[in-house]
Amino acid sequence: MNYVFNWLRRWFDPRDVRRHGVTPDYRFSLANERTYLAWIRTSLAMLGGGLAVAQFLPPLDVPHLREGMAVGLLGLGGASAIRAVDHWSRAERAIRRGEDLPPSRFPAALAIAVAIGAILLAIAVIRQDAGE
Amino acid sequence: MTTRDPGLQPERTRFAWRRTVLTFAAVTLLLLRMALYDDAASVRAAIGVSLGLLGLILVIYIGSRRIKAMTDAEPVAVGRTLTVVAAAVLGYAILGIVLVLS
Repeated sequence: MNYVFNWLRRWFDPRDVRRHGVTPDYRFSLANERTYLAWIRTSLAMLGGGLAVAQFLPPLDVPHLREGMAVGLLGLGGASAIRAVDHWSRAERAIRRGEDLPPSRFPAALAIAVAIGAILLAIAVIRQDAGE
Repeated sequence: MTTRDPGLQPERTRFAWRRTVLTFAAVTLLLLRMALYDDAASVRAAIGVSLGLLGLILVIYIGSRRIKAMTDAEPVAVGRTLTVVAAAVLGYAILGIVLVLS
């Protein structure tokens, strides 16, 4: 429980980062910040995609598929945003300690999830077209 | 001993913030449209529009502050600022899900 509390605290306490290691060349920190912003934009793109699916996609044959996909994309976007902070925090600490940057499986997992979703949607659209 | 970067990294970070705020604005538009869907005079619409506009104002404010901070000598970001931005995105995701399901 203490571990979880400390882990969360790193996201909120500005001084906590500076307890670890040495302050690096500020350009590394800026690069880390830009990476974080890129992930936030990725999350926002997923939010936009989910909202677009909900509003502009005509109803598909499979009931609630459209809503399901919208909610899925929105959820992925929200999860991405949380993960973006965590990754920024861990990378910042690794930079300060002179360690290797933390390895990340998230980009691959995200790519697979989006690819699967896209394939399923393509199948649904093709089947719907074929049925008409 | 670090040599001062004559403006490339701070400038790139400024642009990154501007792109992020713009993306946020675009998603806000979609969110507002979603909130006003069906019945523009409902409580659902009022709450959705208010929260969406609040989120956008918050992110614009944070972005402008970071952009101005880039002219400092060592403009290193603070964790809390970034967490607030991510919280705004998460808030949008939750609001979006609520609006889609309602």
